Amino acid sequence: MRRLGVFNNVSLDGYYTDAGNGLGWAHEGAGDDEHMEFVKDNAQGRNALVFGRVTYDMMEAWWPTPMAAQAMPEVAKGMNDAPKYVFSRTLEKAGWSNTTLLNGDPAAEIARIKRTPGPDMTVLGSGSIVAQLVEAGLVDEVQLMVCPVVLGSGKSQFAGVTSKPLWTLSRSRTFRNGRVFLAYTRP
Amino acid sequence: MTRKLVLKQHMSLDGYAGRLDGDVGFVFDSLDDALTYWIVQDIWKAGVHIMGRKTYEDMAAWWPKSDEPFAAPMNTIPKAVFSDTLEEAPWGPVQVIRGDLGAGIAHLKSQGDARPVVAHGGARFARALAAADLVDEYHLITHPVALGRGLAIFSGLPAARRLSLVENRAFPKGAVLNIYRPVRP
Repeated sequence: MRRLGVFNNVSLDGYYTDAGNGLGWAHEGAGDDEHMEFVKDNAQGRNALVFGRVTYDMMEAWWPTPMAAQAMPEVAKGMNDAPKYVFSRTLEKAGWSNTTLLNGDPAAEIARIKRTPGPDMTVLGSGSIVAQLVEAGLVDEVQLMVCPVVLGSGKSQFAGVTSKPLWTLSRSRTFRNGRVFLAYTRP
Repeated sequence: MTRKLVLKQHMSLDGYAGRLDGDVGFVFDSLDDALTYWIVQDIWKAGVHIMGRKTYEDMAAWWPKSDEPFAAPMNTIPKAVFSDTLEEAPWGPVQVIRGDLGAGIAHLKSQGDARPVVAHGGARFARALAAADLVDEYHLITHPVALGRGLAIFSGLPAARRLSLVENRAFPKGAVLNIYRPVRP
């Protein structure tokens, strides 16, 4: 069975984007070699990536570009080479390399894909998809990079979940730039 | 010299201080002995415990007859309750502070020795303290459960605000303590 994880930067009040879908706050004051190294290693697994349409559009507008290849060559190569799934009922085709477009119910599709052979999967961003998959009990690990900022408002990746498992804190690590990495696994 | 204001706050994994109906039962499954010990040590350091009216009434009905480890520091150390309507405050030692929150906090911070003012909520009181940037140190205890919706304590902020992490610690049952201080120019 393929495992499904989630990775997101979150504010300390629990939001993964600000109210305007912005992510800039997550990168301010990040300069810390140890943190950079960790993010790079963490992104370089052989995992398949899973997105909702909004996050997919943002990622697709950046990672395939020459700018991305220049700014973050290893991460860009990893992102472009990885098998990717995007959930959308409006996209007609997905132009980014190695991307499969899925238009069914996210929980049903992921439950099906988890039973097929292939690499483990990681959801990035995509809060509404995360909430649906958590609710359906399909998320095996949630990774949070808690940034030292309060946003006051924004979007939550757990919005509306009613299943309330007590997650197991499996790893935590603190960085000099004030970020705290927390990995929670499903009991 | 002024003393600092500490906000001690339990939170869910998704950042809520409680369910929409105010229920905070989510904290108990991960309130292990090590975390209990840490909190008891933390609240014994207080020079004064402060809270809103509802939390005062809830605590006044509970701590005087409790033999839990939190009871001694809560019963022994002076309290201040912020309320314009509270008429009787039988759980002492206590003072009732009326009127402007900022002025009341400034007054408390200017009194006593170096021991901090420790705020206990509830969510609405914590939200008012955070919105007015009156908190000098946040002691946030995040429990490993997502509530899906609930009471936010930072929703009154006029804009995003950066903090600095001064301490981080994980406890056996998965709660995480993060201590932050506001970054002020």
